[in-house]
Amino acid sequence: MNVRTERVVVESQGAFVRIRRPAYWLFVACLVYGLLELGRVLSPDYGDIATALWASIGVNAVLAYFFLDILARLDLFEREPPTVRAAAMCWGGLAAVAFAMFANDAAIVVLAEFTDAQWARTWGPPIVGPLNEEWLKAMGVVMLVLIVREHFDRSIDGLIYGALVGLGFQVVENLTYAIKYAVMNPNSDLTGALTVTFTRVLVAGPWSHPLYTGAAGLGIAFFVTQTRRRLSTRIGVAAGLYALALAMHGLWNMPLPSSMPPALGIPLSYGKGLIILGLFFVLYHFAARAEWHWFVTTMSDQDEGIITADDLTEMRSLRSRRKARQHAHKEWGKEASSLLGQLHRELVNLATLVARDQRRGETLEDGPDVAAVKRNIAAIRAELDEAKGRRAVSVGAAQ
Amino acid sequence: MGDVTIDLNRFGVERGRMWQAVVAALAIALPLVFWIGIERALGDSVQQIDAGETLYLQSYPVTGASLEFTLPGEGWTSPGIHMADQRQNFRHGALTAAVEVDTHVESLENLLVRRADPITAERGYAYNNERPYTNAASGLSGYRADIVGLDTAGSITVVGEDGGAAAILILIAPGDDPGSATVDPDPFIDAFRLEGE
Repeated sequence: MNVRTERVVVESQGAFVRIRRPAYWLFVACLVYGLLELGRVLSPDYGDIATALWASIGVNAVLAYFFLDILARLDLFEREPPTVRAAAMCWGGLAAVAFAMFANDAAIVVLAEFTDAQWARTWGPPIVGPLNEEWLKAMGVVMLVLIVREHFDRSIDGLIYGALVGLGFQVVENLTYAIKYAVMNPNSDLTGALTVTFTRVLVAGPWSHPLYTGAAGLGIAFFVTQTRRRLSTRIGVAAGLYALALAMHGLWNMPLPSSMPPALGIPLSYGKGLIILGLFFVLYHFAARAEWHWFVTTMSDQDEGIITADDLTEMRSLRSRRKARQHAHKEWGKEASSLLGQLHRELVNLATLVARDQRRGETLEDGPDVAAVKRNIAAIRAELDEAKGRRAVSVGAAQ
Repeated sequence: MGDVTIDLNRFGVERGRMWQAVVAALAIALPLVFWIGIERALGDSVQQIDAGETLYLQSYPVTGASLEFTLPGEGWTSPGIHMADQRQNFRHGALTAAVEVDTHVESLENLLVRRADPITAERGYAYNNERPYTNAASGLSGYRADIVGLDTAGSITVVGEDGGAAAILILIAPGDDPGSATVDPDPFIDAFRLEGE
């Protein structure tokens, strides 16, 4: 069972619309441009390939759903506002893709002019793909910083927003490929679109743009949030992580040797992907550790009725939370496990609100939203204690 | 609740933040300005095709078929840089020719329709008079249709085998009559050597 919780949303909290920020209007202008450009590119073929396009949209929607779920779980101690998350995806899918299409096409032609068409076809993707696309996607994170700086509290925020920009980019890029291959296929639009869509989702899906831009975003957020560190350190980390994003993207786009047997193509591609995934999780590990330290510091002034030392330990990672729920399930039953999960979510909500008040220099936690979350926590704890008691009684009666 | 005071400039946006948006706009435009600037500086590329020069195309993304061919006569050019493996466009005066190769083609007739549809949709032409086509010199057969537009003649021809490799030739000649020899595919397909499946 779950405790019925209340939620108080203070007006404009979490909103992305900042009509007084010049960067906001630049963001909107870029989205409008992207929408028009993508419409221009896609509309001539739309009438012929509508079925194939919608089929590809369906497959990519499933991909997006899974990534959004994973990213929500990776964001251990905060839930980013839905509007800002949506804005990040829109930048990646509309503005970054539209700008990158032009820049990439021009860059490949330039490479072909300086070398030859065959060389440009082979080496263009690992060179111009990362250079143009990572820059344009990273600019999405920079734009978010300029518009809603208050949502960048810690480095991991950049990783999450960067990954969302990358996810938007990946989904729309997949659609552009689906359209291209639908038109190109000699037999059927649907076959052409779905073949390339499934190939891209299954072979490149797990280690694509969200990971690269997540790395770059982590660096940008480190630069803007770690203001107590030396400037040279912040610049070095941001530049290093951007270079890592370029390297990850370049590695994935790198052509396989033509002399290599075709049977090795898939295992080698997955090998490259696993290297990229491994690098990403190393970065995430460090960011998540810093997150936990932040959580402990933020909640250190809360009394035992709100959060205990055991709660702090249990909430360290997704794994420790799962283990705590499993332990509760074993000791006190399914109901207690479910309540513990609910308690963890409310504690995360509280930390987010407490951190906001601390940033504003407010010493008293008297906001209606803070009070509501504290009431939720008290109600969940009471219900949890009851569940534990009921279990103890039923075990005693059985003996 | 915390209060924040912001100063607005004459445009009604926050004072002191305009420079951030300007720098961001320049940064966003940087890759476009850089690459498109160099591309424009290099100028339009035109490849001259020598008389009798042998050209090659290969199907993509599946490399199951290839086409070797020469263009009839001399004075042909290929606009832009030839980036696609499976298709190339050529120009001779006002006449344009597009040659393409595909693999695992289930139906030549269906392929003709699929390649003709975008031409009619984008340029406002119509295609008609679809009929079987055979080229004795190359031994290839398939289907041919006429492309008709206002003061424009053209033809689309697909040769090869159902279930195998196919070559497509699209000829468009603005200013010509539908019966013009300019859009006759025979001189082109005479020199086609289609291989693969």
